[in-house]
This record gives sequence, structure tokens and C-alpha cells, in this order.
Amino acid sequence: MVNFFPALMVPDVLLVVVALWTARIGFEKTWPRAILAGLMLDLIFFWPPGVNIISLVVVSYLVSFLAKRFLISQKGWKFIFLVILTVISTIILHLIYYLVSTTLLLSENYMKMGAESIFSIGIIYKIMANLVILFVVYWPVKKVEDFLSMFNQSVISTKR
Amino acid sequence: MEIGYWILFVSRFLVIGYLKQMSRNYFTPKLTKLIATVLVCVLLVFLNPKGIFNPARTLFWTASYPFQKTFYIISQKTRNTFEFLGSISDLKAENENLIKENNNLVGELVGLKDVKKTNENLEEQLKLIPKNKYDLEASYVIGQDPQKLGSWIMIDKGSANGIAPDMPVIVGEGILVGKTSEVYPYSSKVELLTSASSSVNALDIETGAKGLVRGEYGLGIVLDMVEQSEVLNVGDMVITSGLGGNVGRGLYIGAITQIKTSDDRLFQEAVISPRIKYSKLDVVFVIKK
Repeated sequence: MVNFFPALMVPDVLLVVVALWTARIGFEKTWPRAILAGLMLDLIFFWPPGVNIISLVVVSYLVSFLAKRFLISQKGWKFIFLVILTVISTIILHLIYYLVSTTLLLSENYMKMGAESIFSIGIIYKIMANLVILFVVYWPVKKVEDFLSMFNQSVISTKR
Repeated sequence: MEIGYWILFVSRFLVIGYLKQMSRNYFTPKLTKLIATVLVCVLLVFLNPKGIFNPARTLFWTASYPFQKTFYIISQKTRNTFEFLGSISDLKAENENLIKENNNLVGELVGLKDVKKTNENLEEQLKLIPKNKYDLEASYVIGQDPQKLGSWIMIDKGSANGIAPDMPVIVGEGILVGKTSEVYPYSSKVELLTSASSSVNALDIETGAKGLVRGEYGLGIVLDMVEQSEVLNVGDMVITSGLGGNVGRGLYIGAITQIKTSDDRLFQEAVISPRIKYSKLDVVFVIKK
């Protein structure tokens, strides 16, 4: 995945997926998935486990908070709201990276360097890359969740 | 006075009741989960320096190795295809330049044959390890820093192939690119010279000035801690000095492009231009001995 994108435009795929899941099924069900996704990211990035877990769980909570208050049932508005959520989630994720790296991990200079992109044009590139990923994964995630909910309903009706 | 005591007594219960009501309203199960997760993760971040997650990391990289190698090779080929399509318009001009350069190089080659013989004599005199005496392990690059900071790459050889931490990694005829830092059974992480945590003892081959080469967050390499009395020149080549650590003498690092004084004015610093672009690495060699 890294080789397809130029520097500063590597998208946060798991961030977009976690935000989408939270907007669709809520924080309660997404919370364990956010923890798993965060742990995987920490292992891939060679960061101390816990950093990405904190970031994704906080983003998931905030997305859930906003989604319950602003999500409108009409389909057109829903997608525009998801675009706005993606932008906000990207900014919050990188803000958390920066805060964690400056308060907890002062020796991990490489993390601070990556996190400091929030104060440069790098954050714009990140947002653009994440919006591209949103367009790519929105319908597959929707289909997977619809399939899983249909599957659960058929299992429940069979048991009855 | 007694009325005051009664007021205080009753208000205590009111305050406690209000706080309990507030905690029920604000500390919802969702918020409690969030706070608990954040607190546990902050603890994990502090405990990590003791390496408690190393077994999990080893298991992860061992399990993901086959998929990682396959997807990385596919992505490299796809990227190269797109780059090729994008560069078609520049091919004609580049072709003409390459023909001219080739003609010049033929002339240089004749002169270099003499230099090669002199070099072999010098290697013997300076006790440099001949390149053909290295025990090299060829490895494919199967991953790189996802944050694109130029800090590290993953290679497809690990402890099962005799790789250990702190082994130098080279390309070509002895161009140092980094050292192995973490080794798993079938893959290893290579800390590049441009990584902020990389440091290698080096010297200026022309003047003998000694210093420490360190990375600058993936952006470049700096030859630091060079004494003010030493001489550095733009264009000089920098090689490893072999002092301390496992990196032998004579591995090429790069050429000096800029010289400046350190912030504390005690030492000189030289910015070094690496010979190769680390994001384009395909095959590297690990020096085992």
C-alpha cells in the first residue's frame, strides 16, 4: 500500500474504516474493533502499543458523539456528513499523535516528526488521501455490514 | 450557631446526592469504556520500553511475512508501471543524454583500469576488507516505513538465515544503507542511515576528518561531531571508519554537499547526499561477517 502513494499522502485506511463503522453501528460495537485495529497499526509502525489504540478509540468516541447529534437519515446528507467526519477524524488523529509523542515519548523523535505534519501542508494531503479512501471503502463496508445484519437476522429467525 | 450546624448537615446530603446524580448522567458506559481504554493504553505505552510486546510483534511479523512480501512486490511493479507511463514523454530526451554519457564513460573506463590497480594496493596498505571477502546475505526489500519518513525498511531474511541485530546492510559495491535493528525468524527491520536513531562512525576519505553520521528524520544524513581543527571540503567522499560497533571500515556513505557549524559552535557538521534513493531499494545485502 505504501508504494502506491507519494510521501505525506499515505492514507489512514483503518482510521476511515473505524470512523465508517462507528457512524453506521455505533461506538459500543466498534470499540473492540478500534482496539484491534490500533494494536495492528502499532505493530506495523513499530510504535509502542497503545498509541494508535488511544487514537482510534478516541476518534471512534467522537465520531459516535457527532453522528448521534448530526446524522440525518437522507442518503445524500449522510455521505456529506461522512466526508466532514473524515476530515475531523484525520485532524484529531494527528493531533493525538502529536500530543502523545510530545508528552509521553520525547525520545521517539520519528513519531514527533510524523505527527508534526498537522502543523504543515502535510495535513491537507493526508485529508485528501483519506477522502479518496472513504470513496473507495464506503460501499464495501456498507455491503459487508448489511450482509452481516441479514445473516444475523436469518440465524435468529432460524433459531425461533 | 445550631441552625448553622443543621444547615451544614442537611447540605452535605444534598451535595452528595447531586454528585451521585451527576456521575450517573455524565459517566455513561461509553465514556467509562473510553476512559478505561485510554488509561490502560497510557500504562502500556510506559511499559513498552521493557519490551513486553516483543513476542506479539514477533508473532505478527512472522505470520504476515508471506503476504507482506507478495503485496510489496506487486505494489512495486504497479508503481513502476505507472511511473513508466508517466515518463514516456521524457524518454527521448533522456535517451539522447544517456548516449552522450555512455560515450564519455567509455573514455573514463580506460583510465579507471589503472586506478583499480592502485586501489587494490591501497586496500592492502590500509587494511580495508576486500569486498569479495564479505559473507553477504542477499535480501529482497518487502516493506518500508508506512509513514514514509525514510526511517526503516523490512527485508525478507531473518534469524533463520543467520541474520542478527546490528549487522551492516549494503547495496552495490559497498554502499552502506543501514543496519539491522530488529530480527524475526523470516524477516528483519533495517534502520536506514536517514533514521533519527541511526549513528555510524565515519571519516572523510580525502582529509581523514572523523565524525559521527546520523540521520535527520528521513530527510538526509549529517556528519556530526567533527572537530573544528579538522578539514572538510564540499564534494569529499565519506566512508565508515570502522571504529566501535560492527560496521567495518571502507563502506561508502555519500558525498559532502554542505558544511556548517553545530549550534553550540563546538563542532563542524557536514550535510551528506546519499548515493541512492532509499525508497527505490529492491535488493540489499546483509554483511554477516
